[in-house]
Amino acid sequence: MNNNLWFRELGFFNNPFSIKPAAFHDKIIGNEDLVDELSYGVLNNKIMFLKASYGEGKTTVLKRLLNDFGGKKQVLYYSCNRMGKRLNIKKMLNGKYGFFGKMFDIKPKDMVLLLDEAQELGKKDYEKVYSYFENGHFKSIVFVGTDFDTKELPEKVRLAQQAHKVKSLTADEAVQFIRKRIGELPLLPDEVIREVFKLSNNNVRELLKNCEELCKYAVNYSEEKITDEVIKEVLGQEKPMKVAIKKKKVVIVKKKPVKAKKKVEVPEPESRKKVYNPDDVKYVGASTEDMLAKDTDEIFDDDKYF
Amino acid sequence: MEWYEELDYDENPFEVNTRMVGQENLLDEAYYTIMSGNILVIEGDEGTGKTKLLREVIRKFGGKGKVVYMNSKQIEKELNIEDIVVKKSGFMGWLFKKYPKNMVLLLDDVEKLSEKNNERIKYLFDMNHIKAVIFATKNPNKLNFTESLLQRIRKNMQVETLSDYEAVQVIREKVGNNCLNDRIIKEVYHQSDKNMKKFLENSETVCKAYVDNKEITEKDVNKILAKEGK
Repeated sequence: MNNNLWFRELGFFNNPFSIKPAAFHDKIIGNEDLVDELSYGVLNNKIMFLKASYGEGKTTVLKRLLNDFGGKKQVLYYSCNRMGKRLNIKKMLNGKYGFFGKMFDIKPKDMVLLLDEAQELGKKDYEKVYSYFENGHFKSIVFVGTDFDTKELPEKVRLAQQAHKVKSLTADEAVQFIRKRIGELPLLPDEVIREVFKLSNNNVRELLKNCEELCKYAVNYSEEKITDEVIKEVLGQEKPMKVAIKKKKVVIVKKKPVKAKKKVEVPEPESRKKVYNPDDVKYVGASTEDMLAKDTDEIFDDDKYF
Repeated sequence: MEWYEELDYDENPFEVNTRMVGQENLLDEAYYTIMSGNILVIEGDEGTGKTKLLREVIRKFGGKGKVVYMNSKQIEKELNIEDIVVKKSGFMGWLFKKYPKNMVLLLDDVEKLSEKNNERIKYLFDMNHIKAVIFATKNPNKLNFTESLLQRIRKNMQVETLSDYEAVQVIREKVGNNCLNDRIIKEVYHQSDKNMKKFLENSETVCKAYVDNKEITEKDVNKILAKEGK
């Protein structure tokens, strides 16, 4: 099993197209400006909002910030989808000093708060976070989420905020992105990456998934290069997008008559004969009881058995 | 004397675990999912071998404390997937919230997945605490995957029904070549509507009948099963 994995054969230990955010490195391609702005804001005591839809790299950007500012026990990273009903900031702040922090209620100052999936926060949460911000426990805050309800935001937060957006990648950047992961792999030329990127509706996660599928197919069928035919073969069938399902149905309808014709031309498919059918090999003349009565050697000598 | 003792078995051969027959495609896909770190959804009706498949996965990857197997039917309250993963590190892990890395999560018989658990899985998967997830379910549409988790799912696979020949192989794995001939087994398989659970139960009754009367043919199968039904 281990030797059959396509990425092991290409010389990677792990799947290079892993869809986990910042799986191997925290280099960000295409959104360098955004990272600069965010880190400037973090250093200059700002409240920032970062808005992007699924799979555009929110968590990747946050991980980058975490790596840049982390290490000095200064950054609080929390993914809001893990919380219960309300965000418990006090507990998080106390947690910095471990057991004694909880006991004596010590809170650190000048922390950086990174909140992932912040679209689930309610008005109260925002107010609480803002009060801690005013008291100086937080130096700067970054909210990251898919969509923010402006009504939920208290006015003070609304005034202090800075909104940012994640840009989607261009085709060139997508190529760079893939190259960063796999290097100059002759299997996957630049044009193919561009083509696949288009097919994936410019979604990076979709691109990674499709590339994985393509490489897996190519290695399993020992193709030297991924061509348009391979793309059609692999992505034409298994595209999970909703639009593609409709197309797929049409294709199946077209294919059926072709298959039927072939069957007419070849009356008896030979491949069937080759398949082992237990009924063809019967225990001729020897019932199970007889077999049981005999010794093993006898059975193997018996011509009837074979 | 039990029926199987007459056939020289120490215990009921139908209760012994044997190798998986058929479904090579699905098994390969499951192994690949775990090795490459993905999410897979297996879809199949009751008694088609979903649990068997997961067991096979456990046998391959288990033993290193990395695989979490959950049968959600066992739990009445709403489960918290984060807790389950944290429990791996024991009491000290719980105390310091020490999270393990690269776990494999196998969820069997998932009927309903709450939104919170969706997000938890997503978070743990993104943070690489969970390396791969396999869901086995009857109907994936009922699961209410959120959009963000749905995007991370690599494939939806369906459990295929076994062919006649593979059904015969299943029984041969269990009872060997000596009892029941192939045509009887096939007949039983058809009588049980190609459902594995039913098929195994029915073959057991037929086996019992075989012990009493060793010259039964496929025509008798119908009668035997009808009797049992009454």
